[in-house]
Amino acid sequence: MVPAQEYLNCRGMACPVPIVRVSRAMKALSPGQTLRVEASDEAFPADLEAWLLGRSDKLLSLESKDGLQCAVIQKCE
Amino acid sequence: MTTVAVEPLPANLHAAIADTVRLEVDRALARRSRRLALFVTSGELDKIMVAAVLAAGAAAMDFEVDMFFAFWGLSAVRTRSVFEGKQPVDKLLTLMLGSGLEGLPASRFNFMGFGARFLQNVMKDKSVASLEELLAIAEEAGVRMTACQMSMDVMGVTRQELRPTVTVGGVATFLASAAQCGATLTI
Repeated sequence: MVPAQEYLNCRGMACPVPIVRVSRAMKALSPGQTLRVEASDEAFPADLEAWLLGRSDKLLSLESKDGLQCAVIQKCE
Repeated sequence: MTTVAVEPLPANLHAAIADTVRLEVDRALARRSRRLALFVTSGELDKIMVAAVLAAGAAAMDFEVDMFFAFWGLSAVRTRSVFEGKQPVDKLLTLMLGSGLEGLPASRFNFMGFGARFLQNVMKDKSVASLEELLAIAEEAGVRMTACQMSMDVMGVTRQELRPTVTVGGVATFLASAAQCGATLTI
């Protein structure tokens, strides 16, 4: 698990709310800061990767276990 | 007679112009691919739900989003019913449109509204955001909502029955937006 500065809990939330919350949380970060997101929505990894397309932000880690998706994203630029 | 010194043109002028043009075209295409136009003509709970999910999701992806509402789709942006000052036909249509999002029918198995209430309860149990929440997310993210004036006239809908952020427009308003959008969907 990559350590992160901020944490966002999206457990129990259905599409599109996790992506909406990731978008809001990332806007509040400064470049270089990292965000850890936990979501139970099974489409979250696919949605997060699509959300990152065309952005400079980086996906540092993405793992899935026991029905929980955990991602660490770094705000860039 | 005076001589004016003219700086020689750089040898790579054509290449520089081509690069600038290419960059501008890329930028224009990138802007276009991140714009979405939604044309909502359905007045059912599940279909408006789809439109609201798309709008909220697209806004989260920093898309510029335009939503247009025509005919029964006006139900999505109506918050209340006003009967005063309307012709009998318009009063009837106002009654048929119902008021707000709570009374929207389901597109299948509505059973006089019981189907829609059932669907709403299932969505709530499964932690799906409500239609009002999704529309509020979209609105807050700057999604532009436009009600079709002609549809409003036909359906007897007045401005004060609509969400305050909704503007009124016509076919040209939609087409001008759609021409700029990478994706246009009709729901």
